Amino acid sequence: MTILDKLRHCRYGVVVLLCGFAYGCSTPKYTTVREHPEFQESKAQFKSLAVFPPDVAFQHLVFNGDHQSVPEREEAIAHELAALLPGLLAARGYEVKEFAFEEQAESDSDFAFEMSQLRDAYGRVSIELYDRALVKESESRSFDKSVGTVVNQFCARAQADGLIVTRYYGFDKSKGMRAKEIAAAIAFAALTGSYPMYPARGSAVEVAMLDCVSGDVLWTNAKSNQADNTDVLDWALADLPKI
Amino acid sequence: MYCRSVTTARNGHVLRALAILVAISLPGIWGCAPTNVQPIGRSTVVGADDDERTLIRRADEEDEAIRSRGLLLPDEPLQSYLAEVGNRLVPELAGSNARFGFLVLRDPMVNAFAMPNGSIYVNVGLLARLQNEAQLAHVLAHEISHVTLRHSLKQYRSTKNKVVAAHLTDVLLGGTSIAYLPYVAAIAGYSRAAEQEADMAALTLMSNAGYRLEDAYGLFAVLAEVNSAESLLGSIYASHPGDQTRIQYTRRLIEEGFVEPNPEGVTGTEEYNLYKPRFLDAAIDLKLRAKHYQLALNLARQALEEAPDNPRFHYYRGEALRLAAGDPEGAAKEHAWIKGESYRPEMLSSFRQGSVTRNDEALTAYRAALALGDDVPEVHRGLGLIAYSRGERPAARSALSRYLDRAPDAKDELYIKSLLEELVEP
Repeated sequence: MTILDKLRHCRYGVVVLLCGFAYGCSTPKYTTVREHPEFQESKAQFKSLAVFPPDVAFQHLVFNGDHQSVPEREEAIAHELAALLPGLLAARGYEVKEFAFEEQAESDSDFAFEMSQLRDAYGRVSIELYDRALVKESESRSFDKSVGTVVNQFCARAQADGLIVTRYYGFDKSKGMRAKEIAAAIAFAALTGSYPMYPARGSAVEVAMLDCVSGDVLWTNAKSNQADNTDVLDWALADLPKI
Repeated sequence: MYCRSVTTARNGHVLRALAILVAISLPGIWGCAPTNVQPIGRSTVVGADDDERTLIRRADEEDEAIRSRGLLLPDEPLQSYLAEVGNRLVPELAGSNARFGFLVLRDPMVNAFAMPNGSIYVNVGLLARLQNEAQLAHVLAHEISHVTLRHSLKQYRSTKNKVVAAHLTDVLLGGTSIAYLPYVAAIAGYSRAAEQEADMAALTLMSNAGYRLEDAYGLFAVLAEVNSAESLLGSIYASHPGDQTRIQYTRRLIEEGFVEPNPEGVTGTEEYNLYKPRFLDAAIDLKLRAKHYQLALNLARQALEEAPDNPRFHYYRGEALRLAAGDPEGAAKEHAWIKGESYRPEMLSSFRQGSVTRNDEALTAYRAALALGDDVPEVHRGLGLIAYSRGERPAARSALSRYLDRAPDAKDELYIKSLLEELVEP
């Protein structure tokens, strides 16, 4: 017997359902998206976007705490994200302008430093944007933050209206780490009766669109996933308004 | 069934008590696992075991990441000066494969660090604070000693032991994660003993290179004046024993004859002063980029005391004031951070109220810079942006145009041009 069947046989079923709908209607919706107060009105001005090289960190978590960065994975994921972004943005109506930021940085240490400065600036802003993961949808369009004019030089080179900045973190765990977590979960279950789940791998992404002139963060979203691949990027960009 | 469950329950209590006992004692046993490492000496082959090879490989990767991210200060004379002082301090290690490199980092925080491959980095934020070459020598000698005493390797093994102990304790305590709390502090930075050991060895290196040892006290006094917010957890400043303790410890080492005092030794104030304005310039610029308005203002004031005729320092003073005026929330948050307090929205009102005064003071500072010569194009940007914020359109247009005329490759050209377009008369 399904829940609906039970409700059908229950004289209070209809009342319960109505209460449920009423609760659903009155409960505010929450979102991970943050928008600049003027983005909805001005989004048409940001038709052309340049894609800043994704900032990727990937760690292999091990039992003895000596967690290791995995440069090969980081490089592969950064490459994959950079390849995915133009298609995902184009699908939402944006025109993607190409510029070889990394090649430029290899031959120009000052340019490389400015790239680091932009990443740092976004990192600082991100802490304020995501001091909590979820906000009410009604509040999500009130985030007035800027990375400053450090963004200008990148946009000037790419001839774009906006710049897409992406940060990705992924991890997987060694067998030893997994064994420890299973043992801890069993011990926790013995004490409390509930069995905690620890993901064996995971990823999180944050994508932001910056105004090329003012450096304002126009739109940003953050998503996480219990998989160490790039699927999470698609989810994050699914909420980006189409133009 | 009932009896069995009572027995099981009783056994459960005993088992749980035993588990907690083991959990408490295990970290002590495991955390104290031997981490004996011999210091690097003559004929020592560095990287002879797996742990050290791993550390050196990672340090090499980090060196490359620092370089490729443009984090080295692009000032060849300053880099050469640091390397010259550092190489003077490196002990004689004939027959060993140990190598040292000394590099200035484009980082405004007060910090220096050594990596196990012998790369020693000093932040420009620390260099801007020092008063003479002997103090720099102490910083470098201290970091060289961390390398020769192989503190990274000791720390690496000790951390692994502690994390393993924490994991095992966590399992025994039922996966509650409480077990990790005591280890968080234990694995952050070098131990106090390691820092004292490095301070002691640094005095010998300074003495061998002919530097005045008493300047080590001066270094600690300088560091004591640095706000704790300006240094990083685990840095030369933050993780060290209290500076007074370090002064007493160093003095005792000299008094007890561990190293001979050398009042005639080199202080190197003049040499250092040749480079210091460039260290200050870079440090203030980086602080402004990091939105550390108050810290930049403090450093600009210090720089102006040392070089009152330097227009760039007047410009930086103006920038710190203008940026704080334009970002009262950021300034209020920085204020809370410096004071070690939590930010509260009510802090914002006093920073909002002070914005007009800050902009007035910024104008005075910009004009002082101009009075010393029109060498800093950004002064015109500052004047123009204040005029823009006040709705003084002709003044804003004139100053911003002058800025772009004098700095045709300005990195913020896009933004300034957008303002100029907006300021065009209808």
